[in-house]
Amino acid sequence: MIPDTPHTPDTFDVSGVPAVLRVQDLVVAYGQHRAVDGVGFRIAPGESYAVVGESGCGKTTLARTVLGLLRPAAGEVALEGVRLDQARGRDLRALRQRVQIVFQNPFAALNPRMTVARLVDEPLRLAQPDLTAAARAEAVSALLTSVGLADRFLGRRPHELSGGQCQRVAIARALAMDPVLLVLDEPTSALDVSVQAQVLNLLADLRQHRGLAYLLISHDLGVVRRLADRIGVMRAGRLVEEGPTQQVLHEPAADYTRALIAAVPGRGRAALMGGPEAGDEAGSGAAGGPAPGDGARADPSAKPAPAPASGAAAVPASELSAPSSIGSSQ
Amino acid sequence: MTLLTVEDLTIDFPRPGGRSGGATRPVRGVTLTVEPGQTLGVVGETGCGKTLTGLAVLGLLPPAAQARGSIRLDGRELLGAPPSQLRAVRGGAIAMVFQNPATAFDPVRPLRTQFERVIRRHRGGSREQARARAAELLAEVELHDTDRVLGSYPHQLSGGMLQRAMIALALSCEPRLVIADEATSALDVTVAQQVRRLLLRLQHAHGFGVLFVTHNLGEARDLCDRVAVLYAGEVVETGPVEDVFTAPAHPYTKALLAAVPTVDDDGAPLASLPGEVPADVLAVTGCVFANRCRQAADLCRSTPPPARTLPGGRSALCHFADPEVAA
Repeated sequence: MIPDTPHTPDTFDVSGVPAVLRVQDLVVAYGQHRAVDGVGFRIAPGESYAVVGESGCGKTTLARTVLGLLRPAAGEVALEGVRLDQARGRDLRALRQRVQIVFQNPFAALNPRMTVARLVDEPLRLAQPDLTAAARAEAVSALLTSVGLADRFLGRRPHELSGGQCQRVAIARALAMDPVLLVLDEPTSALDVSVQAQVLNLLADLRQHRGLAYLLISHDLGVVRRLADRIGVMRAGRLVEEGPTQQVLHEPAADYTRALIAAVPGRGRAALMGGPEAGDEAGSGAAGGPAPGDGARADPSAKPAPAPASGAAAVPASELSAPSSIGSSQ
Repeated sequence: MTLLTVEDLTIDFPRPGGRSGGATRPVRGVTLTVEPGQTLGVVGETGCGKTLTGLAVLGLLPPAAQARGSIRLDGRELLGAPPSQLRAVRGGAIAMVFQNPATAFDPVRPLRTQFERVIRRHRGGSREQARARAAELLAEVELHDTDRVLGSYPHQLSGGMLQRAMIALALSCEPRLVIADEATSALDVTVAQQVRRLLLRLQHAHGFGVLFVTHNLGEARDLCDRVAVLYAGEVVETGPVEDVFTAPAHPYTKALLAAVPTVDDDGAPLASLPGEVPADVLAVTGCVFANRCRQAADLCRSTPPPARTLPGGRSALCHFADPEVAA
């Protein structure tokens, strides 16, 4: 794991190791609307960075830009030191290969007419066109093994798999391109709790064994806690807070971060009714400027209530000492 | 008197053509009760039967489904009741809040029309009276810009606003029971929290009972008085919510709670539940959870477990459910 060095997004190279991903002063606009508005961060090799935020905050736009699917209006995106935003044609395709994505809904991400073997073989042909059929078959089998799927799944199609198995296939496809960075866009939010745990454990193992870096997009702070070394909290196109996971979750600096943490259910009824009004803070606009598509902001019911100095302050003292989450309480 | 009693509810989907092989039984012998003003959480994973149970109470099962058992509201039997009687109950004594408000409203009509229809259908009165009532209801769910909201089509409102409007519509005929199926799952986290608070406030003010169907254990803990944990179509554990969550008696409940990643956990690998629900639960001779259970013994593989009554109003469907071990 990479030690938490002081973070300076505008510095090219802090530790002597080029960043896997460096995003600087990034602006991505749809017409007049700046969906991403001056975002900067870097991801070191093997590091896992989570972008947390609600609908419309720009996190998906950010991910698409990092994948080279959207062109920024301003700013830089560099992969291993090479400017993705300036690359064209063959260079861009070669760079894109280094970043792969795992989508939220694995059923929608896999071609229903293909068998598991073909689904994993497809990217492998692109990544390594010189391999023989036999060598590819071996590689497909090895990739599936690495995501915990036995060879008996080779002939199956997506509808014959569970959600967790589909997501494993999607991960194997991403790994087939031998990326340095995996973009994980809500990778477990379509999965059941017990399956989610399996996939989270798998993702943690893969990172450790392959030295992969992750850009995790999520709204689930429990998932983020589990997978990320650092967190950037995004709101209305900007990063409102950034830091090591533990620090952001336990000593949040921004009101919006506190509101997000307070909105995690599972602390019991007293805490639910006693905590700060997260939505009100969401409506008060830390980053200013209205953003279309943001439900909390558009909600006229959001009253301008003064934000409490600390999210924890409004929670009864008894809740502070108790584990605030159901999973650790048994 | 108990508000809602579901007793030994079993739902079959027979194979088309009348063949017996391949029939599915997604709900098997489910028994639940909701007391007036109380919230029962029905929690479980995909395919556990929680949504079908809710739909059965509303009489909204798909035509192919065959339900047996008993569903009583205030002592009156609903299962097998004539459609005219069910129409009077649906939207009246029993209201439903669906997961996705964007698809639950009619997309081609403004909200005003949809409120008028429901209110006049159940309570009669003029259009003006219905509109006044709609405005009153929206104010109650904290949508104060009532003219704009009522004049809007569903796509013009945010998810949080629509879900509030849906709750207002559900309350329009003063229901005794509200069935909420994943009512906050499609919402952003901070909006979901507002909706949970709203539900609790409204319940406090109106005293309706709630059947809260969710896969989110944290949400169940925040909203419910009691929970019923479903697995593969059966209630495997019931009890007061804090007791079940702090000292689960059934191995499935324990595994489920241990699998939730939390903000405070220590980073040790999550205790994931190995394996899957058996493809054909009707072919299982013993306990349906035995193939995934760490504590399974020979008895579990040969004999279906009885529903054991435990102290404190709890029960668990397990040969080895032991409140002392659990606590």
